[in-house]
Formats: sequence, structure tokens, C-alpha cells
Amino acid sequence: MNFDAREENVLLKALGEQLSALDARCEIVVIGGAALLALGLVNRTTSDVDVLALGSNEGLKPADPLPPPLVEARDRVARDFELEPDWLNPGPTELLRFGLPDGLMERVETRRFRSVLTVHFAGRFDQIHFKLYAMVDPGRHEDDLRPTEEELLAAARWTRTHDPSESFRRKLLGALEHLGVEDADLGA
Amino acid sequence: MQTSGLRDDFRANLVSFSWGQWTQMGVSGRRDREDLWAADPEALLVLSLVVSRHEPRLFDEILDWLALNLRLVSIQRLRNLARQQDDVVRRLVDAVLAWSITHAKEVTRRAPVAPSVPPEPQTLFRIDGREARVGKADAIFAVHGFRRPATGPSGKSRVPDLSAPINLGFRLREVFGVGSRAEVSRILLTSRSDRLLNEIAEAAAYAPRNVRETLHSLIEAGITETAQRAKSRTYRVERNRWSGFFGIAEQDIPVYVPWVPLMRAVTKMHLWLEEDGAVQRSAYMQASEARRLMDRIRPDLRAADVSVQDDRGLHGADYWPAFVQVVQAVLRSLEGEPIS
Repeated sequence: MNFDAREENVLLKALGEQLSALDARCEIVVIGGAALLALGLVNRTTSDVDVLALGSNEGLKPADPLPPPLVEARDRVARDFELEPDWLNPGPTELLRFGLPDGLMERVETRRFRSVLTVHFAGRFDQIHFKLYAMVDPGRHEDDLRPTEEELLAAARWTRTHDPSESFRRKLLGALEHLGVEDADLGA
Repeated sequence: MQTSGLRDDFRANLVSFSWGQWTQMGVSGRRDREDLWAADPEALLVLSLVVSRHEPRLFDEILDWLALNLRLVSIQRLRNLARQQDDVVRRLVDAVLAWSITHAKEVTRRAPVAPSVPPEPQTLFRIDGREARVGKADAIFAVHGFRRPATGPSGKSRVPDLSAPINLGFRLREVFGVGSRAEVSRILLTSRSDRLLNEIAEAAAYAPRNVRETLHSLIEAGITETAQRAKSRTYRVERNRWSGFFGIAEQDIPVYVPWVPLMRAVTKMHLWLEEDGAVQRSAYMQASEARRLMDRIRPDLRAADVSVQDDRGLHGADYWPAFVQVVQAVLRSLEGEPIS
């Protein structure tokens, strides 16, 4: 089942209630379509919530595996709303391995559900970073955010920290050209 | 419908149903129905003992009936069925059995079971949602973790009228003795269709191996037939031969009801409405918890032929009205025949 921004809010509220019933707390950082919907940056539907990281006292940590209470709460919500079992998943958490765009947590929009579920939605600037990286790799959704040249170049430099290879650089240059940025200076 | 209203309505109907069944079986009280089905005493006992914690007079009259008629009850079967419920229900059944064995009119060799670890005590009866007061506590119930006033048999019960349709099971126990043979016979005699081994074992609430041996004996005795259907073996009895033996016209043989899954589901539904259902929750969480209960009892409701509507497309709190409909369907399945 796909959901829109209003329905996403209902689902996250339900997730918070289930966590509360399980006497558990959780803090997650969300990117992708669900974050774009929540921020009102796109007007479409999505089928999942991509969890980039878990919040903790020590900072962000990988979301894979999701904590057992979150899995239990997610599964109950999936059953109650006829969602795919992995409607909330740690799919993009690999991005954490090579570092996130500087200052990401200063740009997030944070919402709390039942005071036990804290969701940080990555901001527009950071979404461009992730989108560009995703676009060069599998290539999709490039029209969602209509980034400026400056934003694209910042994002491009960040994606190079994830993949400094020459082949990625060539693809990246091609993608930037496709988006209207010619002769981009990406370094060696 | 609000949870509290649903809970009160369900409880009142179950109390009325229990009174209606037991008064046909010899418990003292006003008889207001004459059912055409054959009761399953142990399955009914589990439900009635749980429900009558809200109706102390019924609870104590059932105790009195047990003191008089304990020889007609299968303690093993009762414990088998109680094991399918939670720990409190198991302890309650053990407490009632211990009391019944102590107060039985006939000497019995059956020994009561006492818990190895003393349980946390709780008040047995609740009246209008509050714990009933307890003066001098009953020592037997106290051992099993229940506080209730000391009590002895009221002496008002009768033995079951074996000519009543509801008491066919007792009649068969008088013929075959208390055990799997009487249960298998009741199931086959009241069934209008052939039955599979696993269906018979489930309804008999004895181990499948015992039921298989019993069926083999009944086949050897020439009073049960078996047939191979595809990959399954089915069993049946010639109802006209049995009706002649018991002096009941074939069309008057009591009706089969899948009591074991039905009573199991009804007991769990009642306990949920009384305990979990009483917790203050949002509309969504109430519906979600009801859905979890349904996940647990849906197979039993299906086995008991209770109509459960398709709930696809009912998301979140929208599920609640569908759950209310299931509760009402369960109550309809317990409606019997008013006395004419």
C-alpha cells in the first residue's frame, strides 16, 4: 500500500502508540520519499519509510538491525494498515559508513509521536546529496527537488567521499551534465 | 459501541448462557431454555467458572453440582481444556477440583493437585467491577491463590435428567464410563456428517492416540464405520441404529456443536474484554489489540462455524466495528431454544 503525507503522519503516530504500549522509545533519522513527503517537498505517495540511522546518546548509529521493539511495533502497524512488512526499513543505513553531509542534524525537521518516537526528517539540502548519489548509482527521482547548481556541486563533492573511483567520477560528471551543470570541478 | 458497553453486554449474555446450560443439567435455578444440542460439560465448566467470578451465586451452585455429580466429570479432560487457557484459569480449575473432591458426596480416589509454588493471592469474585469482600477465607481456594468466603455445598443440586437432549453426554458416560469412548460416541452420534480423526480428537480433548484406539474399538464392535476419502480417513456411526438403542427418534438426536473451539474462543474473548479491554487506550490501540486477539482466536471461531466477516480494507481504528460484529456473532451462536 502506498501512502501520502497525511497517511504517513497517521502511520508514524500509530508506530509511536505501539512503541508506547511496548514501553519502548526510539529515535530515527528518515530520508527518501517519506522525508520529502513529511517536509511537503513533494506531492506524491511512497510505499516505505527509509531509516538512515538511529539516534542515541552517543550520536547516530546504524539502523540495521532495527531494535526489536521497533520491529515489533512496525509489524503491528503493518498488520493494522495492510502495509508491506518492511514498510519501515533500514535500507539506506549503509550511507552512514562513509559519513553524512556535514551539519545534517542541524538541518533536520524533528517530530515527536506519543513522546516515545522521535523522527528526524533529513532537510532539503541533505536530500539533494542523497538523491544525487542515488541517481548516479541507480538513477531516479532527479526531478523531485529541482536543485540549484550550487546545491548540486556540494552534493557532488559529498558523493565523492562515498565513492572516489574514476568510474564514479565519470558517471557523476555525466549526471551533472544531465542536470545542467557543465564542466563541474570535482577534483581529481 | 464502547468497550465498556461491549464488555458488560458480553458478560451478561455469558452469565445468562451459563445459568441456562447448568439449570438444564441439574444446577438449582430457574430453567428458561431447553436446548437441542448435547452439552460438553468440561468445555462448559471452564467457561462458566471464569464467567461466574462475576456471578458468585452461579459459581457456588456449580460447586454444589460438582460435589454431587463429580463421578460424571472427567478430571483429566477438564485439566486438558484448562491447559489451553492462561495460568489463572488453570489454577481456578485446580482450585474448583480440589474443593469438589473434598466435598464430593461419593468417596473418590481422585487426588487434588496443589500448586508447587504458592501463587500471588487474588480475590475470586468481582461484583459490579469491584473486588468482593472476603471475611473468613476458604482454605482450599486460598492454597490455589484465590481469596473467597469459606463455603460448603448448598445441597440444592440434582443429578442430570438423562432424557434431556443437553445431557446426552452424561447418558453416554453412564453407558461407556467417563473417558474417550463416551466423548467419541457423543461426537459421532450428534454429527450430521462424517468426521476426520483430528476433528474427533480436538472435540474429544483426549490425546489423538487414545482417540484412535477408541475409534478402532468402536469399529471392531461394529458400531462405527470408517471410509477412505482422498488422503483422509473419515468416521461415522449409523444414527438409526443408535437411536433405536437409546429410544430417541433419529431426528431428535441432539445437535453437534464444536464446543471445544467455541468455548475456548469465548473464554479468551471474555477475558480480553474484562482485562485488556478495560485498559484506557486510544481508538486505534483498542482496535489494534482487538485485532491481535482475533489473530489468536480466529481459527477457533472458524472451527466453531462462527461467521467472521472479511476485514480487509479496515485500517487502524476502522477495525473496531468489525470486531463488535464478531462479538455479536459469537453471542448469536450461543442462543438456544427458549422453553416452550
